[in-house]
Amino acid sequence: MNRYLISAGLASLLLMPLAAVSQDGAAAAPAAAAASGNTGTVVFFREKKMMGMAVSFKVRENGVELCKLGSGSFCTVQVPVGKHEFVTQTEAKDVLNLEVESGDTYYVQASISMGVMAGHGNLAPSTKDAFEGMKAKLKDNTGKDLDPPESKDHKK
Amino acid sequence: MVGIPALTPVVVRIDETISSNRNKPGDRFRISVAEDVRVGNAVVIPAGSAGEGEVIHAAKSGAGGKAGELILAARYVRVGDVEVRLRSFIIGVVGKDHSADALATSFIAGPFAMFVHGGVVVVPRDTQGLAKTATQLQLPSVETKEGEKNESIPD
Repeated sequence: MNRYLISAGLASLLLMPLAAVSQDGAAAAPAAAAASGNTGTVVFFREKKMMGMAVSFKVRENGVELCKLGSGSFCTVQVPVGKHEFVTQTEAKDVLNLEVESGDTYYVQASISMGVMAGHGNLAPSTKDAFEGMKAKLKDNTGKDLDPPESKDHKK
Repeated sequence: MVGIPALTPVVVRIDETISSNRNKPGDRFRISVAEDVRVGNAVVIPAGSAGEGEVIHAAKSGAGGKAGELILAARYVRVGDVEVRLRSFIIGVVGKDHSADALATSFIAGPFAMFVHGGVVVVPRDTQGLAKTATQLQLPSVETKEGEKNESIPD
């Protein structure tokens, strides 16, 4: 059920006008959320850094790909109201639990720390200020480079 | 009875210390209202009204410079027999990331950087944040101590 809702949310995101998600991701998203009434917005972003810049990783929930984050990128994702468990897996798995309220926007900062081969991806709660402070240097990767929700292959 | 619109701001105090290394998701903690909530001149949710919050996310600080993380939510406060549901208090805090500069953040309440100690996020007792009422509801007007005093003053 939750997977279905995420898929529906992702599908609605892809159908939204591009301007609504890419011109001012954080600011434009609440309007879309308010319109649907039962969704919130999650902005995943990753600072541009030399460390781990060759490594990108995906954010998933229940196996559904929501966002692919390379160094210096962000995604804006509409999700249903309620509890969510966002997962990223590189060498190690990292989980961020989030509870989404209708019309609210949440910011999640992704980073990568040193690992044996590919590094450890991490998702951490963040703020609008942190995102806005680096947004100009980030590439909008919303809805890009994702496998279809039907895909059985959940590995990167 | 006084109508309280949904999304009315409520200043909430956390009444016990929460730590990213000690608490886990699902843990409940005590909260209370820090300031009277008024609609017009009527106090509808008096300061001191008790309630409960919940730990939404907690991650311990760990090896490789991983910082502690904490997200808290205010669930409700009780006014008489009425449970006033709250929302939008979600507080996310991340501890010191040793692989980069210190980073401490929160979703709504800002000054949580001061609660970071060696990668562990500690939200002390008496920390205040801002929540909102989740739904529209009707509550009786509550007289404050100040109001009672005013009424008892003889002419």
